[in-house]
Amino acid sequence: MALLQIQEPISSPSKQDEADIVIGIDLGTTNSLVGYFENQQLKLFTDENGKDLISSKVAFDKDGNFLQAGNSEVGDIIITSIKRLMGKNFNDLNKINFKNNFIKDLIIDNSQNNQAIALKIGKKTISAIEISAEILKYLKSLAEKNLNQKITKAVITVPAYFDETAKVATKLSAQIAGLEVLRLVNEPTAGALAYGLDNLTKGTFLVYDLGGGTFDCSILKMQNGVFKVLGVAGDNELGGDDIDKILQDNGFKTAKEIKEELSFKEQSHGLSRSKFNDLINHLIEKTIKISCHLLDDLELNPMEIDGVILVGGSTRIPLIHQKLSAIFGDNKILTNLDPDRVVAIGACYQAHNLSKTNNNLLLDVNPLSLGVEMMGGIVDKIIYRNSTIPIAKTKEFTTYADNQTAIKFHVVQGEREFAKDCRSLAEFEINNIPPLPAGFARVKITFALDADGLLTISSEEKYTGQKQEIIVKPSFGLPENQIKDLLLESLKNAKFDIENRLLSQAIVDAKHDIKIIQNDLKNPNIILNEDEKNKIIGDLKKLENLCNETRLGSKSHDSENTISLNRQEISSAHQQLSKTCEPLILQKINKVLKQNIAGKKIDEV
Amino acid sequence: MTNYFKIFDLPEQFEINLNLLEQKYHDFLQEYHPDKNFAQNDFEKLQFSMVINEGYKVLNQDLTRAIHLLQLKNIDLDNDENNPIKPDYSTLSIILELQEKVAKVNQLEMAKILKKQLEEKINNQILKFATSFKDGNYVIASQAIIFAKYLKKTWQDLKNKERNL
Repeated sequence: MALLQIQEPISSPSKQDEADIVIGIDLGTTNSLVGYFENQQLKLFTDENGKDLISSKVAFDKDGNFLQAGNSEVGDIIITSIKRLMGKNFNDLNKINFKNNFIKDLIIDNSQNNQAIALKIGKKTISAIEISAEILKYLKSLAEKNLNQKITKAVITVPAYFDETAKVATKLSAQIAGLEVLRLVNEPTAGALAYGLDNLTKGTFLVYDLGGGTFDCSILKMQNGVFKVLGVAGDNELGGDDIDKILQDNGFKTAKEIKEELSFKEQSHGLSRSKFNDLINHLIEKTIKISCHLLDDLELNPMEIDGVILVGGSTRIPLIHQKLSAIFGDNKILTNLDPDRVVAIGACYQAHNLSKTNNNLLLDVNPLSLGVEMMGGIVDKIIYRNSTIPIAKTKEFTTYADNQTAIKFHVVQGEREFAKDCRSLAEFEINNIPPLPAGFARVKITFALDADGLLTISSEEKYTGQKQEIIVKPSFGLPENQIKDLLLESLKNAKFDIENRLLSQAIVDAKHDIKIIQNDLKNPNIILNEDEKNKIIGDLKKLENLCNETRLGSKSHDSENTISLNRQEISSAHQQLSKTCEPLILQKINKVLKQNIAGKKIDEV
Repeated sequence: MTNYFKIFDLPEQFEINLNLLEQKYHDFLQEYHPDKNFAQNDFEKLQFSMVINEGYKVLNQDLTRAIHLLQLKNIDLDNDENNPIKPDYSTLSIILELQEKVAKVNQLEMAKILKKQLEEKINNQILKFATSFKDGNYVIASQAIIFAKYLKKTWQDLKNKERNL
């Protein structure tokens, strides 16, 4: 627009878009947190009651209509610990340790379709992925309310020991909630990040992370802003929930309260701490064993660990301190950050790291080996566990029969020797192999893990050079049409958001020009005749009024079309004004030209 | 074949400065890691960060660095079919003997002693590799590494066993 190019050096209203804010989310089994880090300040967002610890509960009415997520107790059917079902299918049920049978009984048998676990809630069938999405939507809305701005990007933490299907499921939930996941960060890594940035720590640290539903152990080396995860280990089916269950099974109804009270008292509800320790000893011993094996895997001894970081509310249990102190020494246990919030803090830091330039860098690893099933059901590992990601590995495969033109691959994840004992990730086939004697064809398969630890596979046939990109569909996803519907809904929101942004831009642009013209009209050096001047003032007022009257669309009242029409109205009034301003613009151009050539010889111009 | 020594600009030899390797690795990551190239979503940089992650891992450990040096001399120890150099008879008989010992281990103390012995043997073979590789004697160098690989496998078996004691 001509007006903008010759504007006077006056302070122009800011045209900068609102900066993209990336929030950090700790999506926990029992509780979730959401926050944001900016200007060296961390902010965890609170709900209407001022609580930042948001219960990971989702409430439905008796018909299965979604009511709300979060701390409220309202609702007929309340779903808890949905995270334990992420990435699982019906056939995994026996592996899941349910705290009570209520959720278990809601699960429907959809095993034939190889789909994500779904619950029968009232009249509706709702997948775990969608339920988790409701929690994310709620967390997102808390951030939006607090920051008074639309949020579309997040860093979300996941247990380090989450397998591929669970990670993909989490990403899908975020997508449904209208959040682009910039990075999935492993929870213990996030915990370490929180300590690392707070204390400018240097050295090798062990993170002991006992969450509601999962146990993770992670060892990191921190130096010069580089956080390198050396290795992770864990148990996906062991968490604080299991301690509650033990108490309930032993007749103690108020498990949560007892557990909390025994962290600082010797006695609670008729249960002594020593009896409590006896009851849970085998669980804690299991976590200690996993931690020691990880040390051993990494060829480290406990003396080489500079500090032990505790993550998760359950780590307040004195028995855990006792056992860790016995191995690493009492002074090594770090407790200065709140174990309930440390993962969220780390998530916020990482969100900040990804959106701003700095020297901090997080190097994470893949928790489980990836391989393919060979003849006889044995797994040939391609990418070993605890490899720094991103990573790519290529392996050559050949045919085992003459004139074989296709090879079938079964991709699995896990440490066991036989494919049937590992997690099945995907199956795919390489076709069009030239017919050759057995063992002559050469197919190169490349496995690549990105920085989220998510897998893509590509193949190349050596003789024909034929390449193939294989999209690994998670074995237990949602049916295509369902994903489409859910995405369509988010897309509808996205379109609405775009329209709103365009409208806001049009208003900012118009106001910008109005200000310039108003100044020009006051400028004694610009001389316009009355007619020209009145026309300009008329069009200016019209545009100004439009700008002031037009409100950004709200989802409940306006359609995208209305927003779009409002924008078009402003744009055409803006164009009209530019046109009536032509005599003014001409004068300005002349003035600028005159200034530039004043006092200069003609051949200098 | 990717030459990781070239990528990290280090001399193509067994003895390398591991601190320098780490420094170069971190410098590379600051430029190529996907977190540092978020907005661009640069595929080539992503691929290169995969190469340096793998390269750092290979060069950072004695055994994998030795195997890589031999690969660069066209001796592929990771792929038995392509490799004309086979372990000699005495290597195999020593390994068999050691594996029998591992099978008999039933005490933690015993496991610890045997583990130490195996570690010593692995180090000796790597030393043997280093001198013969320097002298250009690649057959002996390869045989030392083949031996070391067998020893490492035995060591791993022992470790797994130790955990269940």
